[in-house]
Amino acid sequence: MRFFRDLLLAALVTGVVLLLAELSLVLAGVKYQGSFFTSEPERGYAFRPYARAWFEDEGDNLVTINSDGMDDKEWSIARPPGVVRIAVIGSSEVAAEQVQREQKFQAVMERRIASALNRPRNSIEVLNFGVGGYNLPQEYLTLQHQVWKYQPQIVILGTTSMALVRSDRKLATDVIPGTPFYDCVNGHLVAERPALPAKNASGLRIRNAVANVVNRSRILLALNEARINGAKLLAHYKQKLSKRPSSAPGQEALAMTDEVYNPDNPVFENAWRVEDCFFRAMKEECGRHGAEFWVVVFDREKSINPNAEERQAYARKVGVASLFLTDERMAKQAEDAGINTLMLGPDMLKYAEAKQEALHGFFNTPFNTGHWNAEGHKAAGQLISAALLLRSQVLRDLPRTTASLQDK
Amino acid sequence: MSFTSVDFLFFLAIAAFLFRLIPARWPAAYILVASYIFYCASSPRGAIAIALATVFTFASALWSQRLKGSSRATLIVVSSIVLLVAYLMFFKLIVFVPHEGVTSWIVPLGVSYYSFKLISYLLDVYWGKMEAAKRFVPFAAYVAFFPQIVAGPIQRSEDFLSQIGNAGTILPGILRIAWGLAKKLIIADHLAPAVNYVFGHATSIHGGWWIGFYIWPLQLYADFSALTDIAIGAGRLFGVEGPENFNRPFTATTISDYWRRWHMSLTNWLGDYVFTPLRMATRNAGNAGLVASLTINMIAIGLWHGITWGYFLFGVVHALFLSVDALSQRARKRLSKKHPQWEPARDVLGWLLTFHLVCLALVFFRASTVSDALYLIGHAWTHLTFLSDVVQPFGSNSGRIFAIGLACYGLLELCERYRPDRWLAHARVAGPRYLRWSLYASTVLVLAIGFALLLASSGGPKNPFVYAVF
Repeated sequence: MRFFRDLLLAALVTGVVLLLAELSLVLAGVKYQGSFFTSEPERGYAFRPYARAWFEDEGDNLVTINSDGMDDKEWSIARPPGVVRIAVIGSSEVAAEQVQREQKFQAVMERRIASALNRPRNSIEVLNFGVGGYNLPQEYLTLQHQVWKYQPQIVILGTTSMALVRSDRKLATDVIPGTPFYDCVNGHLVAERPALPAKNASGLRIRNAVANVVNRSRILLALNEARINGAKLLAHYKQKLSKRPSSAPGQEALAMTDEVYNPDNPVFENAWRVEDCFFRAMKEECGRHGAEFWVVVFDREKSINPNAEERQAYARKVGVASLFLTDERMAKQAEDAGINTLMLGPDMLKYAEAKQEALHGFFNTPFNTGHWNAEGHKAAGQLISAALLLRSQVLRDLPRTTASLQDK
Repeated sequence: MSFTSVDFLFFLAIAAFLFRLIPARWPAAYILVASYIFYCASSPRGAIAIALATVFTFASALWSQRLKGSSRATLIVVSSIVLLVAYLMFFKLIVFVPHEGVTSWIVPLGVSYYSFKLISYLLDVYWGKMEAAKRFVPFAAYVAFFPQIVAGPIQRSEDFLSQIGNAGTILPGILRIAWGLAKKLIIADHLAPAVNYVFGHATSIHGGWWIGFYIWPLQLYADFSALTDIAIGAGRLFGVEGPENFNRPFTATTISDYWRRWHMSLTNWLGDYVFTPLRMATRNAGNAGLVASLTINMIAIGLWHGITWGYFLFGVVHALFLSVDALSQRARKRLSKKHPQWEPARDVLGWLLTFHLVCLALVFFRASTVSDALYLIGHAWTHLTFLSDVVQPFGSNSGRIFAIGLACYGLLELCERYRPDRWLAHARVAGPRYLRWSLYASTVLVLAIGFALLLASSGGPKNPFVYAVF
């Protein structure tokens, strides 16, 4: 009896110590990246509805996923009368977990377009369907299965040259199991594998619940981060022990993220074909639903570095005359398919140079790396809004209450 | 391999585990091999340099002992010491050679520490304080002992060699390492961004110089004492108890008291091998001899860190303080006897004055240039702006980070004053069973969380130890 009493008391004291440790971490502001994802049969993975966690890899932002698995606020399913809805699909550049919603380019667009059209802010809704790491097949499936119930009049595919890498199975790295890939055969998309059978529902529910609990505990988040870093460290040691040189002596190997700046690199031949197929398929899909389709080619971090010397040095390293060559080819490919196209890079560079400010990078990451910061979103939101206001038929058809849109 | 890196902790864990498996007669050889592996991981060329210096000193000591009492023994010792000092000076001065890439590979890790170990060993043998080591391996293990190679403490050879072969003490070692890691990662690294910012922009900021003046010493203490804690804790895993380096230095009430509490292994070393011989040589010169001995000793302490005007002035300023302290000692004692009721006030004033003098001298130690140091000292008490105005420019979370560092520094002082570790150690032995169990479980839990935090933060920015560069 005494034994169990002592055991219970010891467990209680240890529990109090654990709580104090948790409280200390909360007070100290110690945070680690949480988990926002869940597995999904069609797309392999998706944002987990109602997930709420810190995004710490770049910047410091509390991400809240809505009930439909979007990094966005709650939207009514049916489009309210008199409202213009714009759906944006894409990868992490669109999801933009790094910044708060009001700083994202989608919110900037809402404000700019509403103001330009002299309409209330809530009459323009820009819905964020972006999910980190998505490739074109996943974005296409999102369009097919998730977007239409919201009845958008305009669909924007926000994409970067990295979509080429991520959408070709042979080029993609760190592929999450279940991620779909398509081939383009005679101009038609052919899935490489059928959708995965839905995972055991109760097992998935438990896993999601556990992930939600982990997101709420600083200690568990730290343990999870430690697990990830531990695995990375082991892989690093393994590589060191195998003594495999990562590149030829005296020559630094280019990563795929660098190679993709050169559109004529033959390794991307298949990826270009696949991309073209997806652009056309998405256009058709939008056409069937009566929505206007846009492809917006986002810039890459190195191409809009406001420091010209660094930019040129990088261009020399990757062996290209301009860092916009791939963006230009993507934009041309979309234009050739009869799609409304906007290429952000050159104007983003002008903005960055005028302000002498890096539009990529955060206080905890090097500048001109990673995703857009708040200033980058502001610039992108302004540029996309301006292009839509000028060229979108949907917006042009709206009743005018102010001066001509050309004046804006 | 930084002491806060996961690489080092893995290396230490494996080395300590294997240490328990090796036969009883091999500990010195084992420590030697482990130390050279550690050394080679950071600089294989540096390992060759330390090996050459070790062989040279070992042979010189044996040779001088054989010729004991003769003038040739003196010649051998003097010339060996001159060579060792030249060896140290060479590496201290090579940083000024304007050749890209030279310093990155040529300055051996911990050269300041092991050079002093070698010099003291030669002198101890020459003065007959100890016999020259007969066996090379334990001596080489003493010189290269990896927990102490980065930043001391400077242990005397006699003390070290007498402990070789002791069994490692695991729990006290781990707890001391954990304490050091906590000091470094929670206190020093949280204060570092603000201090770095102030010293990096000393003449261009519009306030906040007080951070450079008052907070830098706290950061330095947390950082350096953490390094010592990890070194002592790691040493315990191999059965070697290193000397303590600090004794609550910022509670000192006089500047001489401060130097009895700060970097004790270095000040004791210089006291024994520089100040005392000098004082003996100048004892007939009265106060002038005392001041000269103090000045040379303190300048030596300053220049031991590196050959810069900042370190030189750090030594000069402390020499001045210590001289005034020593010369006024008699008068102060007389005053104390006459007015014993003033003692409490005198202690408080003494503490305040000492702390400010220490802060002032440390500005020279840290500032990039002497003019920056003078500018910062001149502005330390001006524009005492609100903290957030000062720390805002270097990160959105910086105010909070700074506050955590400062609050935890307060906790550190309380812990060092009231020593909860002793209470816990007593409870672990004599407390009721449930308390003992709780302590064991909580210790494991806290260590596990600490390790997880370390591993989780391993991808983040690194703040190297201040004293690891000497």
